[in-house]
Amino acid sequence: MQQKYNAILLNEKDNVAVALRTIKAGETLSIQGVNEKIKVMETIGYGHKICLSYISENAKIIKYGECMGMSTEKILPGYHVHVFNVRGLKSSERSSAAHIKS
Amino acid sequence: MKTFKGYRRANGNIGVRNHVIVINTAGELSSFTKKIAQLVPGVIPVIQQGGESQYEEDLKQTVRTLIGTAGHPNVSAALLLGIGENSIANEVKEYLQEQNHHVEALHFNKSTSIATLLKEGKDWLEKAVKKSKAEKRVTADVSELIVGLNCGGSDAWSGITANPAIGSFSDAIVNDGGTSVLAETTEAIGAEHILANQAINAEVGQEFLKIVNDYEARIRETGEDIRSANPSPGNMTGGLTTLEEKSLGCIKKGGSSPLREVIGYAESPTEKGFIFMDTPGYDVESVSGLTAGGAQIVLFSTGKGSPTGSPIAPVIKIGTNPQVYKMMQEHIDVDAGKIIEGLNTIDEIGEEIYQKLIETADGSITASEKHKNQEFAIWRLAETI
Amino acid sequence: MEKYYFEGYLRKEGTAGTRNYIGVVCSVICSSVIANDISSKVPGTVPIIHSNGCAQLGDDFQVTKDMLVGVASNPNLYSALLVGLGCETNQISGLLDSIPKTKPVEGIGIQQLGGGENTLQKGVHIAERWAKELSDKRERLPLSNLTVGVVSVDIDEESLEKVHPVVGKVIDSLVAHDATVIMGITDTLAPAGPLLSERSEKKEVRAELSNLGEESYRKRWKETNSKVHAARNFSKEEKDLAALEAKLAGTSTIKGLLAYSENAEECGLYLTKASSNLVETLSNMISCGCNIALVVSSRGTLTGSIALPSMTLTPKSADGGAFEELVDYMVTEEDADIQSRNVIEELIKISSGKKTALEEYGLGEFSIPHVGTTF
Repeated sequence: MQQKYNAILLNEKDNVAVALRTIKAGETLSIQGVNEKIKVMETIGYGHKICLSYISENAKIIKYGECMGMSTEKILPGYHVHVFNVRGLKSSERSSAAHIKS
Repeated sequence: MKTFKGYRRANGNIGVRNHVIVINTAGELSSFTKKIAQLVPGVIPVIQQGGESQYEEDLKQTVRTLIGTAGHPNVSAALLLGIGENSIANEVKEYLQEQNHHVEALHFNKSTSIATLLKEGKDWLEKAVKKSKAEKRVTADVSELIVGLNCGGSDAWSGITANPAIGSFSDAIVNDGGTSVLAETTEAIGAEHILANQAINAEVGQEFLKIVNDYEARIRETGEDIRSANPSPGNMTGGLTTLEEKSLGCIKKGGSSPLREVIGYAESPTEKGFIFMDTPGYDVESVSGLTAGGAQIVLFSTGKGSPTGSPIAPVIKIGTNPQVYKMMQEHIDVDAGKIIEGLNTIDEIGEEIYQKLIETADGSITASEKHKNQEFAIWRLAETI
Repeated sequence: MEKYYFEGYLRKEGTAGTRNYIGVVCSVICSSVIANDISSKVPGTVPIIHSNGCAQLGDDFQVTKDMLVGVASNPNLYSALLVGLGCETNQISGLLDSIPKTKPVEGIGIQQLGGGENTLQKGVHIAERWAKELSDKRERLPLSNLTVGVVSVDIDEESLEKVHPVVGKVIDSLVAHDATVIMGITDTLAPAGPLLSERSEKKEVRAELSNLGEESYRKRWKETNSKVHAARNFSKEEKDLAALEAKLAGTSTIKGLLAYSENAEECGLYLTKASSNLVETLSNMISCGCNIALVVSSRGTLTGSIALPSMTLTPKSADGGAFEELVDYMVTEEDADIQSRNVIEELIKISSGKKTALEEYGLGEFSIPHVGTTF
């Protein structure tokens, strides 16, 4: 079956989308609710994340509208977002992220 | 206003099924639970393997779960099996009879022959089934529903399709005045600060952080470190980058409504809205805790396909990808894999789940009910004495 | 000394079955319904289903895995079909790797086969094939092929006074005939640890037995990393009752204290952990290699083990007492020597195929102890 969209945006605040099938370099992202034409710069495996807007170094990666990690380098739109350019939160970042002090 | 037709109980609660059950209060009675249930067509055996001499922590949890199960709104009548005179069966019976539940306890003791006991059990159940058949469904509002949220056999798609769709549904039913109960504390480790932020006040947020911290401490005791072990290499291949991301994919079943209350295993919510119950990630124990806490229906997302159900509540299975739906259709009720195929949005599947929930509440049978998947187990805490 | 024999099924590795079952074993509760369905369709099979198998860590997981390996290896099973889901902690492949290749063993999984219906069909096919090929011929075997689990459950002082002279002699006689006897240590027996320790010749066994009364012996909820080794303070009554219960074990030398699922190295008397949950205790006995059990209680029991014939013994009381129809032997005032011979003869008949009262009623279960919480 020909899919209508090749990626999905889980929350409108997100700066990453998730590939619904393997997307090859050179293809254009088609995401429901996103009109911007973003060119895919490297092959993205299905289930993997792709950058939608410029992310500077040590900035929040937003998925589900929440911070799921921090970038370890700047990431440009159309590039793969994964373990080589993202790290999990440090415990100090986690507790400061919570309004409630533990 | 969304409504369904259910069974109004003497205590005012509303059920979506009208079960007559036999439930054992001691593991030694498992065989007789099956035997007695078989004597009367339509009676469901609810079997648990614990309940002998237990440390206090297990005993309290067992009694609470038995009360919640035998007194569940989906249950028209319950026959409790016990041994001797001062058994848990009596304690549970007396508590529930005070609340006008239709329950009885049958005690195996030295002075009554097995044949007499079997006959007594059969007679009581026959009457209970007859009475249940005379009970009629009445219209009720969805705000009276408590829906349990669980996942099992998750895959890389769970957090992308089925769980966010369940989250969309959860927000919708909470908006309609109903209750959704997210479970499985293990799955929240790593994203607990996010769910704590969703709490209505600092107190609820703190309670949630506490149960997660306690959980992690117990895991560390076994020599495992959940933070360094996750995401696993398999998760990473599937596209998961951080523990936060993995856990977010699980807790997003709860949507974005404010977290109103944190309750213990098998406890009933005292508030309406979005609730968290402290349960293990072990599916059958978790679902048994949710139903004992009053959930009339449970939503269960699965990526690899799991057949498990519940003897008490209909379990609606939501497949996370098109392949699992195709391969395991006999076990799955809703195909969230359509999101991957671009056929539906997350919110559309959320609406489909809501529709399925209403149909199920009205009496439509789910896959696990059709296959008589009636697994039941109480979360065990300590070794038997 | 008269020589005893029983009629059993000799297995390749030299052990013997008192029964000849095809076991249908679930790896996790998620596959229990399918395992049960398979078993219900093929005569000669027993469903070995339980509520463990996933979201378990450390020792608690190991106990579950070992116990399933143990039951699949038990000589009362001609063969074992393992039925899994697919995503559980307790993987079928891990079980298959750990079960010695001395009998037909196969594994199937619901996710791998694409659903319950396919798994049911495939499982029935395998079990039917085994049912056709197994030979139901018993042969005469010495008691050295018998491993007898002895369990006491729900027993009071008065009953102990009545039954211990008989049971003690039964155990001594079985040991004298080169049988292996594995007796369960219940919580009520723990205060007799120091007393029992004097009956072992090995230093490490003596040390283990004297520590039976320590708090860490059974795993509690929220235990901290610093293991509590405090000795429990037993009252005189508890110690006296335990000393009386210890008399059930006769007078033979205690060869060792077996961990869950550990098999005895040679014939003789051993002890292992037991609890008030009879089914968990009997399941451990199967896993330790027992092929028959003797259950001693005041009142008779309402279930036995699904794969281990469990002969039940109670004292005879004036008011009829006990669940009489579920009891195999009632101890009377008659001479203890005569009665112990009667019990052994009955035990041999049961080992040779006679159904126990519980088997006649079709009462039998399987369940696995937890030594920690699930996650």
